[in-house]
Amino acid sequence: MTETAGPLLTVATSEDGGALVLALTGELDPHTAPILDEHVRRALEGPSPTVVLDLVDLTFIDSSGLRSVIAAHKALVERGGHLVLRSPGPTTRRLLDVTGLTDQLEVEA
Amino acid sequence: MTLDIDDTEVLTGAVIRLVIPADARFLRIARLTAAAIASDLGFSLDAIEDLRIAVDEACAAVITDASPESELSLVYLPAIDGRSIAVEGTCTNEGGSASGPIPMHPVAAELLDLTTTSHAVWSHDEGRSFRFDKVVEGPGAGT
Repeated sequence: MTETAGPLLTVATSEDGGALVLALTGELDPHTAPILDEHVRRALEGPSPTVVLDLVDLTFIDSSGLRSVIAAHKALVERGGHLVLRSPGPTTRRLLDVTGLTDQLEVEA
Repeated sequence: MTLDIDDTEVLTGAVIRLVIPADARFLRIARLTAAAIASDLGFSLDAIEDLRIAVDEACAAVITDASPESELSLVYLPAIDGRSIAVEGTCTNEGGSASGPIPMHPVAAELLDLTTTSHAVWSHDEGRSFRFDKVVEGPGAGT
């Protein structure tokens, strides 16, 4: 399934080894973060305790996007699951590092 | 408080003005403009990314609670030496708000600290405004 917010953000969902994978393409900002929030909300209703955010094609993220990621992490942990960030680009990785999220979240290269 | 660009120290290069609706949907245009200017100045890719983030965070801070008809006026002030840029923005809002610094989410404030040399975001009688400066270190700015 693919859902878009105009041309700015595309979220493609798939499964990988029992985990729900949300592949983000585009930009994650105050306008598009609610789309990710909605996908995470749906994931919380499903059986999979693990959500993977594939960030390889994410071209921009700001504090609103980071807050959505933090919220997703907390919500999943509360339900016994966890969040994995997969393949963040250099800029995203830098923001995760400076905000300390790299230490709190599981990040796959 | 009003923004008077004639008083800025960096008004030696081009002045680029952009007016967009005060809606998060249009932040991308502000970011694209910033990236285009920074690229034209020869900023490095990291510096361009910093400027995109700074513009996004500052704009997002001033359009919060803006009325639907509000506009966000942006002025990009690249220095003639190509080593710095200042960006100013004002979001007018009918009724204005109490004057003073605008409290920002800690993550947003952290990103502004990271990506700018100095910054300020404040409210006033006519709405909310910001100004930040970005000075690029190193020879050529684009290396």
